[in-house]
Amino acid sequence: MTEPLLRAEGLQRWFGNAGVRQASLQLAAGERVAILGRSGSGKSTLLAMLAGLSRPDAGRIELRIGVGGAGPIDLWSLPAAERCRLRRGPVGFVSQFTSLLPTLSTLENLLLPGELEGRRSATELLADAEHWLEAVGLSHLRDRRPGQLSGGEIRRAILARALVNRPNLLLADEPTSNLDGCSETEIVALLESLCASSGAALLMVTHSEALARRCDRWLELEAGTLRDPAAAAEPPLPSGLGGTAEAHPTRRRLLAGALAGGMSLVGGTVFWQWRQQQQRTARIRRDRLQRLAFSGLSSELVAVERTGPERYLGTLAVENLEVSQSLYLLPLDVQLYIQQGSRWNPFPAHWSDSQRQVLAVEGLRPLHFEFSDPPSSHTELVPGYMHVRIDVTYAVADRPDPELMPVERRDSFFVHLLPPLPDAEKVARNGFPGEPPLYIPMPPH
Amino acid sequence: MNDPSSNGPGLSRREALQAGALSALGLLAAGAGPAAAAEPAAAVVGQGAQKGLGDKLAPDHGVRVTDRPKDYVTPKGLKVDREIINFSDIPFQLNGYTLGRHIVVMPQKMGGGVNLIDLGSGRALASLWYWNYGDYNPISHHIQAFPSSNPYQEFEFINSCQGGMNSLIYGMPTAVTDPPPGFNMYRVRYNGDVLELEENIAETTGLGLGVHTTIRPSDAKSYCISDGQKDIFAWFDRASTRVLQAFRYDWQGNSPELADCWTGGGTLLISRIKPDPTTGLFDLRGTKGLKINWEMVPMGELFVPEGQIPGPNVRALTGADAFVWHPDGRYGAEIIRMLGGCVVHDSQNGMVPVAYCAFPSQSPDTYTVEQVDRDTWKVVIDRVYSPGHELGFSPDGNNLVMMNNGLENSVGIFDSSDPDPSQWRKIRQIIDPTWGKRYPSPFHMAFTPDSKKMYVVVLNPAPGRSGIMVVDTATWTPIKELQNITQDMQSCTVTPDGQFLLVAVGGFQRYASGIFVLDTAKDEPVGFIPNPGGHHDLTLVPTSVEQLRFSRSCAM
Repeated sequence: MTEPLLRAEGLQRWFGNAGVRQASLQLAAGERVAILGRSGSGKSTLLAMLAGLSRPDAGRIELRIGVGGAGPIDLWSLPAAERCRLRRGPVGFVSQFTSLLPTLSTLENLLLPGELEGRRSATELLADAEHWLEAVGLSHLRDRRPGQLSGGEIRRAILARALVNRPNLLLADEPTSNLDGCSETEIVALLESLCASSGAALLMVTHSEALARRCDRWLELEAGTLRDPAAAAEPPLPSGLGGTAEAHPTRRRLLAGALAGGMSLVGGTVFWQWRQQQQRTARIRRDRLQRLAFSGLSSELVAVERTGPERYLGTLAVENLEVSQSLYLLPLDVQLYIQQGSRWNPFPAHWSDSQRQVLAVEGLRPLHFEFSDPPSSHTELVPGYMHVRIDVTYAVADRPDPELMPVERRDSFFVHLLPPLPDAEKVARNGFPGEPPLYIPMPPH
Repeated sequence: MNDPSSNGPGLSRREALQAGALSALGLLAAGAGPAAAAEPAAAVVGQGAQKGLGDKLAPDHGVRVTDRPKDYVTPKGLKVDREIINFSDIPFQLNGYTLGRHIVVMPQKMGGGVNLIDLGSGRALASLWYWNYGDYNPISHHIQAFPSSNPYQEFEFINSCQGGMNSLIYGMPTAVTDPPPGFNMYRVRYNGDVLELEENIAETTGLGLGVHTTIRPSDAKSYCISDGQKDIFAWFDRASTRVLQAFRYDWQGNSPELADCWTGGGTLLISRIKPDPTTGLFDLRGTKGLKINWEMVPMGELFVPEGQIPGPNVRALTGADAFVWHPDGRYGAEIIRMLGGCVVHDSQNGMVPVAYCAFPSQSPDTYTVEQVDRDTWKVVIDRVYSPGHELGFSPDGNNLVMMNNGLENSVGIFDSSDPDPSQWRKIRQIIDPTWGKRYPSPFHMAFTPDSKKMYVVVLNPAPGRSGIMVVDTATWTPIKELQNITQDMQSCTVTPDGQFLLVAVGGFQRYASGIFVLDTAKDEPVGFIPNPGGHHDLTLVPTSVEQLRFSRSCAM
C-alpha cells in the first residue's frame, strides 16, 4: 500500500474560542482534497500548521516528499529554516491574501522563490517562470507590478509563483477569495489543470461547497473539528430506481439522462436532508453539553480553613444536578486575587494533588485548593478582613474520553477573609453575633 | 470692511439687517460679496487658523476653519429630497415579534440609575442617575410604576435604593471603603420627554427603606416599601407622602445558639412604629435601624445562622423584605424570609396583622397572631423548617405562593380564596428533582393575567445559567422548563395582553443584562432586548388600575 504524501494526526491549536481542536487527515500523491468550513471554523489555522507556519499545540504532521524514497519527515521537528526551505521547494503555498511583493514585477515575483532557494541557474529559473506565466495566461503582463493587475490576474500570478518550484504538494488557502463567480470558476479550473499537469497533490481550504465538490474528496471543518462526512456515515440511497425495459436507443439515452438527472436530484436532496440531520444532531449534542456545564454543574465555595499560621485550604463542592447525564470534570486552574489599593493583585494558589485529574462527578464531590502567605498589606472593605477573589476554571465533558470538545467554565468566588494576624479591634467593629468567621462568603455573581 | 456674514460684534443694527437681507436673496453666498469676504471671518474664529490651511485646528477652540472656494455658487435650482421620519412608522420588532406599545422601567442596581425602554419603538425613552442628585451610594433596587392612561405622555414611579455596605458585597475592588448611607426612595415622573426626580421620600418621612415597592392594586392611591435589613415596612399615601402605617418585626429565638436561633423556633414580635410627634419624622434614614450590614441576597438566609453576616442586631433579624398585596387591595402579606412565612395585614383596619402563614411542607398552615398591646402583636412559632425568599398572589387572588429556599427548596402554595386569611390553607408543594439544596432554586415569579399559568425563574448562580419554569395553576404542576437561558435572571412580569413574559437579566454589575422575552402562548423564547445596567427588577407602566393585579403589586 502506498504511503500517503501527507499524514496529520490529532492536530490541535485552540485560541480559546477559535482555531483547531481536533484534525487528522491523509493526502495521497496527486490527490485533490478540499477542506470545507465556514469563516472562523479554523481552516486557515489548520493550513498554517500543515505548511509549517503555525506550531500545533498537539499532534504530528508527516510529509513524504523527500527524494530517493526517504522516510517521512516530522514537519514540526524541523528547525524554522528547514520548514522555510520546504515551502520554497516541495511544498507550495497559496495564501488567502494578496502576497505579491508590490515593488517587483510579475516576473520578478515568480523568480524570487527560486532565487531564494539558490539551487538553479538564472537561465533555468527564467525558463520556468516564463513557462508558468504562460500556463496561467500572464505572459503579456510579465513586467506589470501587482498594483497594475486585476484581482483575478493577481490570483493567477500567485498560483504560478506557488508552482514555479515544482512542488509535490500545493496548499491553497481560499484561493478564490475576493473573486467574482466567473473568476472563481476560472481560477479553480486553472488550479486543477496545473496540479494535474505537474502531478502535485492539492489541499485546498474553502468555504464554498461548490468548489469543494470539484475535488476528489472533501472534509468538513466545523468549530475546529475536522470530519470526513463520507466516512461518518454513508447517506441512504434512494430506493425504487430499478432497471428499465429495453427501448429505442434514443429513448434509452433520454431515459438514462433523465434517470441520471433524477437520481442526482433525489440523491442530492437525500444527501442534503442527511447533512441537515447530522448538523441538527451535532448541535443538540453541543447544546446538551453546554447545559451540562452551565446548568448541570453546581459549584459552591463551602469552606475555607486555616491549615497553618499562614496557610489556607479552600473547599469547593461540585455536584452534577443533571441526573440523566454523566459529568466529567478536569480542574484546570485556580487563581487567587487579593485587593490591594483598588485593584485585584494575583497570588499563587494550587489544586490539592488528588484533584489534578479527570473526575467523575456524580453526587456531591469536594475539590480542595490551597494558598499561603497572603500579603500583609491589603484593602479592607469589611474592617479587619482581606477582600479575596478566587477564580477556578474547569473543563467539563460528558464522557471521560470526550468526542465533543469539553466546555470550559470559570467561576469566581468572592470572600472577605481573616488575614493570618487579624486586628481584633477592627474585626470587632463589624458586630458579629458570635465568633468572627474566618471567611465571609459573598453572593455568587 | 466689516464681514457682513460674520454678524460680529462690530456690526450696527442697520448693517446686520442689510446683511440678513442680502443673505436671504442668496447674493452673499452667490459670490456678490466675493471670497475676500471670508478672509476676516477666518481670522475671527481662531488665532491658530491661517488662510489656506483649512485642515489646521485652531488650538483654542478645536474649530476647523476653511475658506469658501472661489467658484462656490449656491445652486438655486437644487432640489433636495427631504423626508420626514416618524419613529412610530418604524416599529420595533424582536425576531419577528411586535411586542406592543408598553414602557418598561428598569432600575440599574449597581449602576445607580433607572431607564425607560419603549417596547413599541425600541427606544430608551429616558434615563436618570441618582448620583447626580447628591446620593453617592444609590443601589437602585426595586420599582413600581403607577397607572397612567397614556404613559408616553406622563407617569410616575417609586424607586427604592439601598445604601451602606451593600455596595461592598459584589466583588468590586473599590476604593470606597466607607460608603455613604444611601437608603433613599425616589418618586420620579416622566413628563413625556425627560425623567424628573420629584421627591426623595426618605427626606420627606425620615424613613430609609431600600427593597420591595408595591402599589395598592385596588386604587393606586397608596404604596408600601419594605426593607429586610431593618425589618420595617411602611404604607405611604401617594398624594401626601404621609406614612399611613409602619411596622417593625423582631425575632426572639428560643435557642441561645446562633445556628439554631431560627430553626429552633421562637417569637415573632410585630410592632407599630410611629414618627417623632414633634417633628412628624421617623429617625430611620440611611443606615439607622439596620440589623445586618448587608442584604440577604438569594439564599443569604442561610449565611445568617452560620454567623457570616455581621450587623448590630443579627439575632433579631426576620428578613421582612417585601409586602405584596392581595389583588382586592384589602389584605397584604409581608414576607418573613428567615421564618419561611408571611404576616397578613388588614389595610381596612389600620393595617393590623391578622394571620401568619407558614410555607414549608412540615409547618402547620397558619399560626395565631396574638395582640400584646395596642401597638404590639406576637406569633409564637415552634419550629422553622426552611427560610423563604419570594412571595406572590395570583391575579385572581385565589392563591398565595412562596419560594421556600434554602433548606427545603420548594414552592409552597396556599389557597387564599377565603375572605378570612386565618382560614387560608396550604394545598400543594412543588419540588423539582433538579433543584439542589441551595441552587438551582425557584426564585422570582409572575402570573398570566388570567391566573392560568405561573412563571418561575429558576436561579443558578453565575456563571451558571438560569431558566424559566412554566407551571399550570389548575394543577400546580410544572409543564415546561426552559433551561440554560442566561446568567442572572431576576424579577419578571407579564404584559397586560398576557402575550409576553419579560424577565430582567443581569442582577449584578458585570454580566449580560437586558430583558429576556418569552412568548406565553407557545412558551418559547422570543429574544433579548439589550439594556446595559445590571438590573434586578423591572416594571411595566400599567394603563389602568385593573392591570395592577398582575404586576409587582401582588407578586415579587
